[in-house]
Amino acid sequence: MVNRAASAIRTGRANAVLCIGAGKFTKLSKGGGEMMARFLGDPSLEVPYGIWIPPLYGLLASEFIADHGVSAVEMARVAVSARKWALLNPSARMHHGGAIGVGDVLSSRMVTSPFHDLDCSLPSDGGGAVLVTRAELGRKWAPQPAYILGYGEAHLRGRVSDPGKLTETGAKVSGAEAFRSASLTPKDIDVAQLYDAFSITPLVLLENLGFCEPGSAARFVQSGATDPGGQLPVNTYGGLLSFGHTGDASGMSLVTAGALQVMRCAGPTQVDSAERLLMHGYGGIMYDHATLILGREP
Amino acid sequence: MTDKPVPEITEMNGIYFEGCAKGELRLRRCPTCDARFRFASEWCPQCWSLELGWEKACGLGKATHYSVVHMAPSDAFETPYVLALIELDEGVRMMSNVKCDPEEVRIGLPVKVMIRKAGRCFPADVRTAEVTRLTRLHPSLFQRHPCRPPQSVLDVIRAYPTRDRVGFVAS
Repeated sequence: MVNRAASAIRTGRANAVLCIGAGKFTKLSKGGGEMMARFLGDPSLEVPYGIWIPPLYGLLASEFIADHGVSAVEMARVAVSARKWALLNPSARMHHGGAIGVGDVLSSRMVTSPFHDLDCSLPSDGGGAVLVTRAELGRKWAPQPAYILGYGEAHLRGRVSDPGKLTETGAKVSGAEAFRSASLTPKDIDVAQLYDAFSITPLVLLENLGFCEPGSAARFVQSGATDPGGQLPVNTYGGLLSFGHTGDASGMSLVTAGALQVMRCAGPTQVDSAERLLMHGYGGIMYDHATLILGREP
Repeated sequence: MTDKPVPEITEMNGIYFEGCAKGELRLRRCPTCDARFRFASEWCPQCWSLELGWEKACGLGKATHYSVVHMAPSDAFETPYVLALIELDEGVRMMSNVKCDPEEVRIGLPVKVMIRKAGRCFPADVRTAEVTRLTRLHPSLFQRHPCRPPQSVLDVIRAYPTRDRVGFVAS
């Protein structure tokens, strides 16, 4: 959405575009699960087998776990990191949820293997908005605007049953495009906001976007690198796991949280060194991907 | 209690479900480039040919991805159940349930197809394909009985009876 707005401004069709996201979850008891299944799968060859979002991600996770020998403990550490950030963010659903450890994740109810309850994001209603405008107007309206440095997008898959690796995603393409357009590399990024519908997905994204070598993301998270004070803070607002999954607006939650970091307006979660920040969102079961890089200098 | 979702029979996938009614798993095959695929589509995803045929799959494969589901999309599904991606011996990926003890499922688990009643759809019952764990088929049999030319699924089952035939529905 931000890139569409930026294109409209670049081509002179607008001066400022307000991008708004608003989302809502339909409860399972009200047919939410079936709705998700029909939205994401083939009605004849996938839906009848009892698919919906968590088990489809479970299939994806089983591939990543088998390929890289990741353990449930290592995956759970992603949720622990997200909670550490949520405790700092007064707007997060889990701000008062208390600290959690790997043991709490593993002892929470099994939803669908390999995910326990705390490996899954929090269905929430919510929204957010960002104003995209010309640099000169941005400088007038904000002491520190967030400049758009790079952008990439890729749509490579439409069904889980399509052939090919589920964990070699369009993020490889959209990430490479974003870095190329910003003339930056993963080493130049200070903070990353990575869409975390389930604890497995930041691990996939850390590797697909080039922050970690294949097979090393789990160890990276395990080392505390993504925690407050870490080498690459990830999901500084608590992520979908602990801030909340605001349905269709969860990409916008991630964008607003990222922009606020760059603008030095992130309150207690502020990372001072957030000069350049990458945010990555995806849709479907990691089918559609968009990467955006923001910075304090144009 | 809601009903399980019943496959939607369309003009394009009708031949697939006709195969299920006859107890066989059918695949889309492109005679031009020899690609095989499961999704009913009007063109070949590999070479875009519009001249597509159907062939009978041998009905054997292995689980490549799985999730043991404890929370179902609706109460029509009895939990836990195994959702899996199966790589058929023809190289085609198929979404399925695996009829086995959820504790036993693993990547690489050999499976064979079974046809089950998927629900009632006017004017007749719809049958669909899922897989069950292969228990007694020795790996060497795969070499002695290659998939091509395809054997009837029923022949495979009759020749190598397994313990867990419960749930297999012959047409």
